[in-house]
Amino acid sequence: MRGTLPLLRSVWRGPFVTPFPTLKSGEPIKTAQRSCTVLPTFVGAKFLVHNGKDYVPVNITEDMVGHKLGEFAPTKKWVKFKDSQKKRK
Amino acid sequence: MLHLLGVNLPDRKKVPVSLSYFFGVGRKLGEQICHQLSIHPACKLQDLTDAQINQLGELLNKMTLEGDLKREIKNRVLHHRQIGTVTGKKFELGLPVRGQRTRTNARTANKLNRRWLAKDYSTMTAPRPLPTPLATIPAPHHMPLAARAMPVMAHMLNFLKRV
Repeated sequence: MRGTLPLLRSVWRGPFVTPFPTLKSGEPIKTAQRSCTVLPTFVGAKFLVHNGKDYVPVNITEDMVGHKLGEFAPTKKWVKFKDSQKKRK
Repeated sequence: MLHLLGVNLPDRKKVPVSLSYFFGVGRKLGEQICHQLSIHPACKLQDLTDAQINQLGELLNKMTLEGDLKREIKNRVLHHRQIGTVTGKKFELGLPVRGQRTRTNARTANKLNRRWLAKDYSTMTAPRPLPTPLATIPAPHHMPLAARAMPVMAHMLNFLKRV
């Protein structure tokens, strides 16, 4: 109802991240680290995030910074009914 | 019927209950407001003095309620939709957003989650204004170093502060 805010990890711990050595090289990074927080240094990088089966391409923008990589890679294939296709942005 | 800040409040009800008629105020917040203004929670709204009603109005003015709150929520949902998270897609489809079951029992979500989609008919193709970019919001000075390095986290903590 509140229009969901991202879950909070205690601030003193710092964000949960895994190091990506090839971040600045420009090639897509294949990862299964869905719980890794997106840092400001990630902006502009391309990730291939695992969703259990495939790797979903995610282009990191500035707005994505506080979220986790897994939020951009849906893990379920949703049922689409022909008559209720909602208009997407 | 007392008319306060654009909302009609029922006179004969207890103060915390009538305050919950504002969008953004529930029973708990209603009681907190009464405690803050030293109004007995069993008082009826019609028994309050004008001075107390003015105090109420002032306090409520400082909070985000009604239209402002709805706009904030719509912006948050819009944020999710624009960056393409799973949460955004759930809102679009009217599904429960917080991981509840959908095999049965998703009726409230079906009814309520669609209302946070910003309705924007004429400018559907124009770029929509985003909420202020998180990176530009400075962290409050009393935050520890970790939060200062992550203005995003500090901004999120600010969202959680009520009244």
